[in-house]
Amino acid sequence: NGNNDRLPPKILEQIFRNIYGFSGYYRDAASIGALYNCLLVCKHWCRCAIPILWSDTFYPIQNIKVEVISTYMLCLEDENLREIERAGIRLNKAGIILDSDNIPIEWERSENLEMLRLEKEKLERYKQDELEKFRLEKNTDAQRRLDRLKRLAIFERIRKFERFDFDHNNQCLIIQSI
Amino acid sequence: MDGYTSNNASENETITLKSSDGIEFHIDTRIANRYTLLNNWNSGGTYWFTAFKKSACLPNVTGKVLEKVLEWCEHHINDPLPNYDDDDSRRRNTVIDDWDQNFLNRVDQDMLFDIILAANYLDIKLLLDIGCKTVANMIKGKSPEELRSSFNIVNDFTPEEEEAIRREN
Repeated sequence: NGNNDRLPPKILEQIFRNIYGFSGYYRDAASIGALYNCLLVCKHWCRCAIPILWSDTFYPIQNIKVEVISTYMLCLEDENLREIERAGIRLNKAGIILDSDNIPIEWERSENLEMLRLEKEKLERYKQDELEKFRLEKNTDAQRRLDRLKRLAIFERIRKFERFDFDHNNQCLIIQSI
Repeated sequence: MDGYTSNNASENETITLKSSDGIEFHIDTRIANRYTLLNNWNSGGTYWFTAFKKSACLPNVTGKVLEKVLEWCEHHINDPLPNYDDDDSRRRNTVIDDWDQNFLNRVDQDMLFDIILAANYLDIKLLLDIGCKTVANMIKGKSPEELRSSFNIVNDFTPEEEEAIRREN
């Protein structure tokens, strides 16, 4: 069987970490590509490389494309998906997040939590001042902003499932919320 | 025994390591003291200890490999001990110095893997780190096919499986 499992998983993982970059460090397309090539070498390498390839998914990507989110959602367990739907996020069958007009949403990394909080405060004030003379209607500016806030809030929650683990005995991914 | 003799003795004392093929190495206690596992053997803390005091058998390491590992240890005997506690920050900050680079470049790939395995088994963390880094550098820039041939790995995927991996990742 050649040298396929010459190196035990623990060591292969450390090697792949060196290629992919340690968590929180900048990685370029070349290092992701190099790790991707490792997936296709043999089963043993593939098993060790996948959890690393899928760790730190949102780093350092600046614009999170809808495909990334939907692929990510496929990894979530039913219970997590139900939680997302309870929070008012609509999912289509492929797990793609839809806005109220059934259009997939693209997330931008720059919409960070600080902006989210500022916008929330602004909206709270706005609501208090205007509530008497102005009723929020669907598709008004304010309503749209409120929808957006809800989505960002759930995005924040999704990000908490960042930590992956790989169960070598059962050959499955374990997703932990942190 | 009193404190004076044991203090004095630790400078020159040696412990004996026996490889899987029966070759004995006498190593400076200072080397053993640097590495947790060897240190445990040295202080008699584990069941690895044989009936003869201060000697240990290494069933997983051959003489050829142990010789290389100890060569590395000798060279680094006076290095300051790394002060990173957690594994991740240590690994991140590992730089391969010229001597180490040269040391690992001179061995063939089989030996490199054996050294990594031995370092892992003996818990010599820095040697394990630079070994992994060296293999990582060998992997970079190679296609899957090139990787298989340079590491002597058999492709055990069916075409369908390979296609599925490409699709899903």
